Amino acid sequence: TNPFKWTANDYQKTQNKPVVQQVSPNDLINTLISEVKEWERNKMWPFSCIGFEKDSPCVPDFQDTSPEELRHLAYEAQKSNSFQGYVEYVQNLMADFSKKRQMLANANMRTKQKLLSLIDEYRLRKNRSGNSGSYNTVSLFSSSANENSSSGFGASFGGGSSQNSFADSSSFGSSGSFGSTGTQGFGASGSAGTFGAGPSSTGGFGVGTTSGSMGAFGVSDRSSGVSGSPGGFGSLGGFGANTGSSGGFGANSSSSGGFGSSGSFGVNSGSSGGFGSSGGFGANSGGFGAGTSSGGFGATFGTQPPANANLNNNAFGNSNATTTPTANANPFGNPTGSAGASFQSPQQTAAASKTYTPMDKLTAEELAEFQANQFTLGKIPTKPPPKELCF
Amino acid sequence: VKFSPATNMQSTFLIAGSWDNNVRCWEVQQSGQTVPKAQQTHTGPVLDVDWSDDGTKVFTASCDKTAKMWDLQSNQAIQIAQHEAPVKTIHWIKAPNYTCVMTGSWDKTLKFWDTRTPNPIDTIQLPERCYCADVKYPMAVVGTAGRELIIYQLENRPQEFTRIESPLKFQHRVVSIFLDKKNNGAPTGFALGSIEGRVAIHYVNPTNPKDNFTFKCHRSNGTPSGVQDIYAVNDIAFHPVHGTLATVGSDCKFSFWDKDARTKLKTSEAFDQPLTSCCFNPQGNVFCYATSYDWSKGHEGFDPNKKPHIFLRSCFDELKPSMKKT
Repeated sequence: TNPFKWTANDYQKTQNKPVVQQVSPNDLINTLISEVKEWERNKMWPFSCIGFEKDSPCVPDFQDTSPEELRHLAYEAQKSNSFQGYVEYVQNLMADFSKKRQMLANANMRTKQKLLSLIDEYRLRKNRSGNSGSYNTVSLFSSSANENSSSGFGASFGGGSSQNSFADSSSFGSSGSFGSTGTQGFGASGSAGTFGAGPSSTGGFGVGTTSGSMGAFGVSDRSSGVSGSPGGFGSLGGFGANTGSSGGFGANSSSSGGFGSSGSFGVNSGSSGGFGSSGGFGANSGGFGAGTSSGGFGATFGTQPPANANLNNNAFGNSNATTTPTANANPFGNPTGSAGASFQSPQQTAAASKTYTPMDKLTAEELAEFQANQFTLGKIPTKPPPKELCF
Repeated sequence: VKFSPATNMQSTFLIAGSWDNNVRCWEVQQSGQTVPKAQQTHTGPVLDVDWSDDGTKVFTASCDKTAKMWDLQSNQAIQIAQHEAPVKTIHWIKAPNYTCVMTGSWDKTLKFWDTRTPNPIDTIQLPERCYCADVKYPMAVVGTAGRELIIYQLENRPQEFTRIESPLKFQHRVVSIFLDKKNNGAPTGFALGSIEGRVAIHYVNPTNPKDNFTFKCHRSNGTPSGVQDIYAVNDIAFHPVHGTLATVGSDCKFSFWDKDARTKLKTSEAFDQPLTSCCFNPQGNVFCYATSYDWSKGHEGFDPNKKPHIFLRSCFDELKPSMKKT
């Protein structure tokens, strides 16, 4: 028998053992409040849910957004030439979270009452069924229409009923909505001091800083203040080479459900270009191993294959290899491999041309090195070899 | 990053998936030399990779909402999965009576694929977006947005076993299953990492509730007034022989830990960038980790002058369990 056949029944029994020490709800709330206060200062990722305590549900209104999700949004925005929209989205998200954290940190009686009742509720549920459940439709803040939600976007984000900020298409599905909230001091196009500029902004990004160049995360923005243009990113090679993208918000994705659903953020399922191997955030602009003199890769170019190369031809030990003769020429062989057209992108051919150096771009010395039987130490070319010498 | 599994082949290979849309494969020789071997491309950033148990196929998951199977022998890659949103996790499942690929997506589903057919053989609805997952037959664990945690039992077919209240208070980032040191090394629990510089060690069937605990990690020393900087745990890997673990974080460091002695074994110096991924080779003498930007400071934190790197570190003795008694 399988010794690890833990049955659900056994498991539930262990889970239902009463917790020996339970923190009093008041203490719990105080701990929560102090954690939220620290959250503003300790540089933690800002867009996270938070649990009341361990083994308990999440406090309502704080929705998870992971770094990868934001990064994906940024890349998509860049592809569709709507990066400024992404920047504004993040600013609004930051402002929203900051506001919520502050409301929690300065919880009034009413909020505390609500927290208490939520805590009692889940603890009761836990004692009965072993499961605390979760709060998808409750909000701590939304009911009070007064001082709590002043800015328009607060309503669209913190409504509490939408489980997932990104699924709320009204936030930025129509190009108008973001533009208009921008008039509240965020992302006003062309204004140089966007960050930290909002006059009476609810301390959104760069809380407490007055420097115009501090970004949302309190990091000096290298792109010298995010104004209209993508700033620092414009200087990256290959960027903005938007081929085939549909552009703008509300692009043509017909996919439904989940992240970026309702076609709001230009999730271009059909786009082929933009981020191929040569461009993009931090992509190695020359394609992998293309001439960067980093030790091993540079050395593989042009070296004679070892005498018993045939045994190693196919990395996986098959002697009847049908793949390209030596892997040495281009360390990564055929980048696409498959004949499937869907894997080709316009960027691929551009990248391929950077894998080899045209003959006329080599100095005589470099050419001599490539033609020699062995590289001369100290003279190993840093450019990739010419195609002519590789095959 | 992922090393190829232990097989009869003499060589070990390393696969890395990247935000530049590419998946790369290197041969890692005994000497530590690495030889670039081949590369494939998605139409979007690659978020996860895994190997088949025989080390001949690589599975890749991408923001382009697909997953691919890359046959290394022929250097051909085909699409084997389709989701409605980016695919965040991918794992190969090898059961006595079936094999399949498990993909977790931000479309809130977990899907299981027979690589020969286009439609999933099973779909499981998740309560929220899939953020992290791990598989060690017959256990699978999935961490989602909203701090949900679900354990699946994979015998016969994948089935939800139970949902757990998260032992961590903040956003889930990574989950990694560990094996029992006795009992034939069967999966017995998992480590969960969050954005809050904390890891939870959780036994699915603890003999004592106190077996489960959390520990702080990837935090700065803090000022005299007591405010620490708290960084995300980006990845966790268990040593295949010693059962100790490595964590890598946004604080640009890695640490080694002994979960049984409940002690830290080592913390590295700070690198120039966050550490985003890590793994051990099957023999446990090489620790691999990647340094690259993890978006922990949003787009403002992106520095095009800092290039991503992958490091290999000789490590067997460093990961030996602590001599300290608890």
